Amino acid sequence: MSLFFKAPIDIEIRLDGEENRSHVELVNNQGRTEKLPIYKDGESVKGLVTIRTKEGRKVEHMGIKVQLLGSIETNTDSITSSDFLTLATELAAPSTLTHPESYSFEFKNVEKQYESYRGKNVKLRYFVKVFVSRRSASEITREKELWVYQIVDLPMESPIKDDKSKATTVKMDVGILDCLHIEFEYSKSKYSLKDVIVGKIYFLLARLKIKHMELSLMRRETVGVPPNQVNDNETVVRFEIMDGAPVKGETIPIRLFLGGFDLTPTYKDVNKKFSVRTYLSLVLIDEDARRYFKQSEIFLYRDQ
Amino acid sequence: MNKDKSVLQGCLSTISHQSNLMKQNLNDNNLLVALKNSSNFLNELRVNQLSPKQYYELYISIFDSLEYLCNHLAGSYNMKKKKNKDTSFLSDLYELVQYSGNIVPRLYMMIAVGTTFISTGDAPTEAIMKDMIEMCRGVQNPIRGLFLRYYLSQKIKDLLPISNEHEFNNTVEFLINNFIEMNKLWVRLQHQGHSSERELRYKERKELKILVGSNLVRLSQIIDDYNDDHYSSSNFYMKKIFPIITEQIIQCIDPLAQSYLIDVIIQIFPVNFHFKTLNELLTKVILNLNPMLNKSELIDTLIDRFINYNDDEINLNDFEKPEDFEILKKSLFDNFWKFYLSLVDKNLPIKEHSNILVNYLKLSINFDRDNYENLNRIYQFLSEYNFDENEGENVENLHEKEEIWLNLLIIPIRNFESIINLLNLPFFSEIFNKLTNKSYQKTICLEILNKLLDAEDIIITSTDDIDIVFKYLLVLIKESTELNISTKMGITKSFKINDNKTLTNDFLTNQNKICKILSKLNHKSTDFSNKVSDLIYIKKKYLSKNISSIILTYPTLIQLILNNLRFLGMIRKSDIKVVNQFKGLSMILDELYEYHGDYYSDLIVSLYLNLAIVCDSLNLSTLTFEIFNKIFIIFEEKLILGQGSPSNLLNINNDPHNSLNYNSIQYQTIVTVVNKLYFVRNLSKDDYQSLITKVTLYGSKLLKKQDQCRGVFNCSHLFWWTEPSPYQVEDSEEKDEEESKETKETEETKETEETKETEDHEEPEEIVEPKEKYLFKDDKRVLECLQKSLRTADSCIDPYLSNQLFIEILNKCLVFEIYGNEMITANYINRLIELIKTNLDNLVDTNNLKDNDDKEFKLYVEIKSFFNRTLTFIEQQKEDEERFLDIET
Repeated sequence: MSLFFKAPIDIEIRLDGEENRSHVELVNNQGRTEKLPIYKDGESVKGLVTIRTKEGRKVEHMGIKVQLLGSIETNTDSITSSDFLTLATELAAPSTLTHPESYSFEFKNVEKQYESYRGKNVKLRYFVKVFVSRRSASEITREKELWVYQIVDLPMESPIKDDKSKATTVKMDVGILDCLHIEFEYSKSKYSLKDVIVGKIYFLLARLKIKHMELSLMRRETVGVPPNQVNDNETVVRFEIMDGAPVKGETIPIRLFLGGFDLTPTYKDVNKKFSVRTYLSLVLIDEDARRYFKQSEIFLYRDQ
Repeated sequence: MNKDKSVLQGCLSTISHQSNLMKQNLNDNNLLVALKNSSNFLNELRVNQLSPKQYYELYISIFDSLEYLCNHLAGSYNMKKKKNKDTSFLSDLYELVQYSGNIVPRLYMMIAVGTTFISTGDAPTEAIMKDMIEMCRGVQNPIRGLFLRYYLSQKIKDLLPISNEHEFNNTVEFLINNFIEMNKLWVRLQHQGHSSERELRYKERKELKILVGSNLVRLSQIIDDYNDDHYSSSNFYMKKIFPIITEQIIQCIDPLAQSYLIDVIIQIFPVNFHFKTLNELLTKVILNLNPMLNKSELIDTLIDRFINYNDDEINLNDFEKPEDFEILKKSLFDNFWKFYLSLVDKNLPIKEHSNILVNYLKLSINFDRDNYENLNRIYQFLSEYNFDENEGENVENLHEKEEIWLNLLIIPIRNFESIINLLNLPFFSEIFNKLTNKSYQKTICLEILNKLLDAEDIIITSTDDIDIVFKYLLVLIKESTELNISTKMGITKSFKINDNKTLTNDFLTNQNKICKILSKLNHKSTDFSNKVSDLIYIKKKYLSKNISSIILTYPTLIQLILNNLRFLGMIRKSDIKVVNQFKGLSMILDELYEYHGDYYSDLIVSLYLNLAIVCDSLNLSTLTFEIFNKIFIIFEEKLILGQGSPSNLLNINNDPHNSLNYNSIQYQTIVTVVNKLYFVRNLSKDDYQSLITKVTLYGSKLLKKQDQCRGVFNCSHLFWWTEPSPYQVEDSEEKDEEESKETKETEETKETEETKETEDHEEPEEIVEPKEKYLFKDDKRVLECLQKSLRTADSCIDPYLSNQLFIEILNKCLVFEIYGNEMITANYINRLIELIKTNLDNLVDTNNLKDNDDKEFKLYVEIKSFFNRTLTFIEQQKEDEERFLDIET
């Protein structure tokens, strides 16, 4: 761990059936691609820890343990981290390692309450961490990150309780006095990540010289609680749905496949620390490049 | 403009670059990259600055590139199918291309992939079609939208499913939908941009019209291609297509769209469809179009379609015709007429009226050639409708209105079979009479005249017909001969008829044509007396209305009557009625003489002569005698004093030495009279002698020596009949119908005319056997005449002329010698020859004729050669016929 001392042992964490699992690919801050195995809520995390001494040295240790941790790291003003999940298992009593040893571990049916998330100001991580305690020197640790998906099978069984209307259409009626009056309609307000947003826009009045119209999906990450809340907005998708100026009475269809975009399911008040929401905006751009938009939140969830 | 060009070039080069990359990637099996490339070049179609024409260039270039992509996709699909591999990639691709962030490239890609998918036959065709057409709504920019939808229609046009009713209905709906949307975009284009560019927009839209029309074209093919037991394309059209598309067209109000699309409908759908929807098309659709629109063009197209259909109708079998074709045909005009009446309320410009009515005429001509009722309807309307309701009656409107009338009157004249029926329409003549512009009336009359002349059949068969036709021709007959400026200035050619009358060439031509009509009058009939009375009727009622021009028409009329009378006379000899009719004819001539004797007495004389000869041939000797006396009166009244014919006679080359070339009108008249008189056979001897004596006297009293001389020796023939008269032959042919029709414009033509006339009279007769009859011969008087001529010739001061005349007399002597006049002896002739020889020698001596260029020398040479020819003739006769044996040369 230190630049000067090479750790005398190698710790390798292997998860069972890792090769056959599906992985996510993430690009980390350094621009390198990471591949992380995907776990679901309630799934057991099983694996094997192998410890090798380097160059045949003898290493004395005060005991080996493994933890499954779930933590939220925020970096709003300073990096703070809090664990919402801590499970630990003892792997070995204190002894001396002379040759490679393997220890299997298993956390059974772990409840993983949240999804893994890497945002701008907040990270939600799950990882397995192995500790090798030593008497004189600092512990030797090794982490292995997991990626957790929360699968919602049916939108009907939405985990969000306050949502009363179940997958009904969303209709909106907006306008600028004597200038523009449109009605638009999305087929529903909740979408799975592979879903398609379908809808239409009906122009009741169109005196505005519209140049084009687009849909945009914006992800908003909110960290902290007011008044110290930090927001980060990121436009994930911009999608032109109309070219040119329509006249009164025109209906413009909307269809946006979500599956191909990097979207995040909606997280609300994760551990009272952060939220991630997605907003769907209808943006009209006129000939003078002015933008008129109407935003509405859509609920995204992950399904099979 | 240059900037636009560089934009275009930029776009085109990007397209070509990206499409090359695409092809390369496709060949390397890099489908996704290739799609990216195509999306890149499709992005060029989002450009704003280009005109429709330039945009079309982009479109074409992109179309080709996408075609390459489509073929590649179809190819790999087929390959996979052959190898039984998974072929779902096309449907995945259809979804994949929809991620494209910009709508225009996205939709092109969707269409390219979607139609390729459909073409494999394994696709959910209906769903894809619906999806594509629905998504196209997203492009609301007119030009981009139009081209996008055009791309859709081009790509799908051969894939449209029609294998069952459901599919067929969907397909039709698809096409109509696309049509409606394209039309909307097209109309909207007009309102884009600044209002000062309206003209430019209009022009651009015109260039784009074919894009919109292509949908209708495909639609018409589809409803024609579809086949089902209970399906009738025309019914389907009437119920499902016509109402929708026309509704759309009416709604859009735009004049350009309306005129073009209605035109397309008329052109592309079969005529039997139009039969079914005609009433709706006219009263519900065309009537409700933008008032600015010129409906006449549409009517024109529609009527043309009907007319062509009718022309081809013969080639159609019954199956192809609508069942109730005949009924439809009958109601066709009624429908159009109903439409017109409702259109009229809408304050139509005069020009529109005219165009529409002209088309109606065409329709009527084509569909119902023998129905004049429709025409009458049109004319009645014209005469009753007040065109100037709102504009007030002013000169310009009046002029315009009459121009229309003129046109509407002329077309049927040219096209309808029976001009009599046409002219007889009460409202035809009403309109005609309402024309205030006389030159229009004249134009119409001329048309009538030409039509009559062109007709091969007999047109005018009754007195009623004569009235119908001549009522109009009267305009030409009575035409005022007032001259316009250009004639007065001498720019247009003109002719003097009398002192104070000048006529234009046109007028002469018209009169000439009227004369031709006269001769066509019932010309195959053999009822001569009826023809004569018809001609006299015409003369009384019409021709005599313009006294100053009867000189142009009467000669023909007289000649025609004369011909008919001659036949009549041969059938009913010396019938008192015939005699009276001859007298009547003579009266007509008197009338002509009365008004035109001062200038046309020579022409009148020859007409009298014709009359006299016919009378003589029918043995009406009293009449013959009287007519000759009349001729002498004319001679004395008008000719002796050197008047009686147009002054342009002076133009003639006055060479006294040439017996053929040199003519005074008096001399010429004498010769003509002699010619005819020579063949008069049925007069009593006393009458005859008194006539010929008088002529000879006139001959000897002519003004000039050479005229006297020649006049007298010509008269000498009258005393020596050598053959029976050709005019006595019973069934001599009518030869001179054409004659004297030509009003003699100059004296020269007149001369040739007259020579021809005499030839014409003499030629055919030679074939006929001569009848042995008493021939009047008086040798003493012949000699007297020759002596008189010799004396006159001798008294000429001009020696050349004198000798010329001697030789001419010598020739006469030879003739009489041949015909056995005993008084003209060989001795007499020898003396004459001797005299001429001496004179000629003297001429050479006294005048010292040597110089070849000398005029006198030339004259001498001519005379000398004339003399030599005469002598040669004598020698030849000696050898060939053993005549003149006693004559010495």
